[in-house]
Amino acid sequence: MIKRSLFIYLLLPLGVSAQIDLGKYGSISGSFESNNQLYVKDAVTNAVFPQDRIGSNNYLKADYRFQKISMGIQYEAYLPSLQGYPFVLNDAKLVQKYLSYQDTKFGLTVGNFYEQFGSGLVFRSWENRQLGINNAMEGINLRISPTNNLDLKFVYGKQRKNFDKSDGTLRAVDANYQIIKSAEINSEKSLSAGVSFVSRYQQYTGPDPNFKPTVNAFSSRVNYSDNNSTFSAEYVIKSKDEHLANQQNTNTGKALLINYGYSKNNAGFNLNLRRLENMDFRTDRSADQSQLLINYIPALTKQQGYYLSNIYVYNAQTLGEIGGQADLYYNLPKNTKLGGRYGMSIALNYSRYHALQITSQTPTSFESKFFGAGKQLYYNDINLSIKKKHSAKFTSSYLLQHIYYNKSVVESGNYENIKSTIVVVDILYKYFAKKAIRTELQHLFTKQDKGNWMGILMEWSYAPHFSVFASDMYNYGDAGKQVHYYNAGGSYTTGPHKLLLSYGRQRAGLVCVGGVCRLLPAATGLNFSLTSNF
Amino acid sequence: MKLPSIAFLHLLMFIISAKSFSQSGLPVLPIKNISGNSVPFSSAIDTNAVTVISFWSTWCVPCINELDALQESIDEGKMKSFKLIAISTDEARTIQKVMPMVKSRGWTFDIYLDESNEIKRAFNATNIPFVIVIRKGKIVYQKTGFTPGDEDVLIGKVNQVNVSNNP
Repeated sequence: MIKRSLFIYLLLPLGVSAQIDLGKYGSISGSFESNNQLYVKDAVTNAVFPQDRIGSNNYLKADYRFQKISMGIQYEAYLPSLQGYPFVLNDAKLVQKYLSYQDTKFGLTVGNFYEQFGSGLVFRSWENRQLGINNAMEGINLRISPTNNLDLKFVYGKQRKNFDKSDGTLRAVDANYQIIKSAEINSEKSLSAGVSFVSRYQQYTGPDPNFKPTVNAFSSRVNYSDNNSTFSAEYVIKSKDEHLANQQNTNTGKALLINYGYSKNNAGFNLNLRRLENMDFRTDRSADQSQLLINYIPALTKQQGYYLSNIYVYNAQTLGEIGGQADLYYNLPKNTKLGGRYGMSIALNYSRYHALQITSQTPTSFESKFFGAGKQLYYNDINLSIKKKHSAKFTSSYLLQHIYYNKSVVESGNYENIKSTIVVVDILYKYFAKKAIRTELQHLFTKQDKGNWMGILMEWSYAPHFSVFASDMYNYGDAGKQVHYYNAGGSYTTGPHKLLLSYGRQRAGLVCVGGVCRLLPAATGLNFSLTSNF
Repeated sequence: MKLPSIAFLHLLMFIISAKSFSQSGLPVLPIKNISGNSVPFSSAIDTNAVTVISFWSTWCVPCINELDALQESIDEGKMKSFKLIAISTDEARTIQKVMPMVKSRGWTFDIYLDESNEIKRAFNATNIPFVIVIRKGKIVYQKTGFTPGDEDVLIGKVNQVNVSNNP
């Protein structure tokens, strides 16, 4: 079965890539992504050696577009899936298909689709292959703009669950009214208000006659923007929704999100405040981890790109948290004493999250002060990034970060709270027009958990095709086991196609996106990936 | 059988698909400008000139490096007769950082917001940064990733397309 499916899936892109431009009959486009790993035994990292030493996740998406009509498919092959992904992903199937008509005032999609209301706090269907999340809807998606200022969206269907569908059904509607909308396309003045209603039904067959199988959520929002400032606020309320992932909590779900931004000349400021209470919302009461999420609740902290900054990452606590983050951006102008010939960019970020201030509690519910912060600190992060281009050839970047990480809350369990300081120096030397060497030196200081880490990365690139790298993360502070997580590899890129080959060790840890985390297991082996767009 | 088959056929597909990147028929979808005003995607494209579209995010360091490099090229007058638009794929976690970052960095090109990643999906942009060059409604060049020096390759491509556009 798998071999036959593999054959079909591999032939499909060959066929469509040959007839991409159909002239007046439309066009075919698509993408292909393949991530593969050949696992090797490694006693040092305690990596669990899989039954099959090959893991292979593959995704083919193809779309046909003719004027306002489009149709497409997504074919996925897990032969079998990479470690850390759901073990049921062990097959190759055509999992998504759609037919769509889109105009500026009207859009209708039947089949699989992704949609989002507002910021996603009440509803978002999305895909993240790195996390193994794909909660695409299967059903009907209707978009109508009856006037220039009013946009309506309707959604009806079930969510995707691996190769299957959710047990529960989702019905949702969203209305957005543009109160101020300038005729200028790139005008920076805008005021809009929106409301959303999301309803989930899942049949209940238990003994409780008062149990409500339908959960309703209502959201209202406002967005304002002018030449220098932005403001947005969204409030969501969700009816009683006991389920596995929220530990059968019966509290009414509530979420408040406020954003404010101001920018002028070379400076920018941004502030986000958020309070969450019992906001885990799914299409199935028995779903947990990253399965069947209806809404999108990301951690509002700064997303860093360096290895050691991603060891202690926060995950939003949907059962209850209050906090926020602030960002300050400043660019020292070019041709000034400090800015030099090319200027210098500075970014300061601060985020802090607490438990709610609980006033009374039962095993399945709690009372709390709406604007009160509990004593328990979940996460605190202050970080400063500086980037300076010294000359046409030489650019340096720096990161200084201090984190407080409540590991017991974020990762569940009983751990010591962690305080860590991270320092990164990143130097780019572009010694010819297309040739460059980049070096990262990183250090993480902590007295808790596994102690200190140091990291180094060397990368050589020859634009636009070649890049090779070697890196090591050395956990020398771990008294029990001092492990080198080394990696080396290279990539070849031509246009929208990229091949990557590497060999090394992968650290066990959390990968978090959108309030959802997946524990990535330790692994050692050869990695091969291909991404292609046609 | 499994590993050699997968490797060989992937390579074969890569070689064949690498030859074709011409794509016509741009998506008919609304897109939001930096203020959140919804506008037709077609209005973001300059039909009379070459348009360069860059998909980026505030958290993507190579994306920012690429846009900084392109802004520098614009300032130095290296790129001529074209329109550059940068489509932010930031979602709820980071979208509020777009305007402060854009203003503080002094980027002068048009910024659009694709919070639900609908436009990114329509272009089948798997990873970012992802650059597309459009001429007369057709995609004539696509590029994934950014390494230092890629900006010069892109400038050369845009200028070459411009020459063929205006013989």
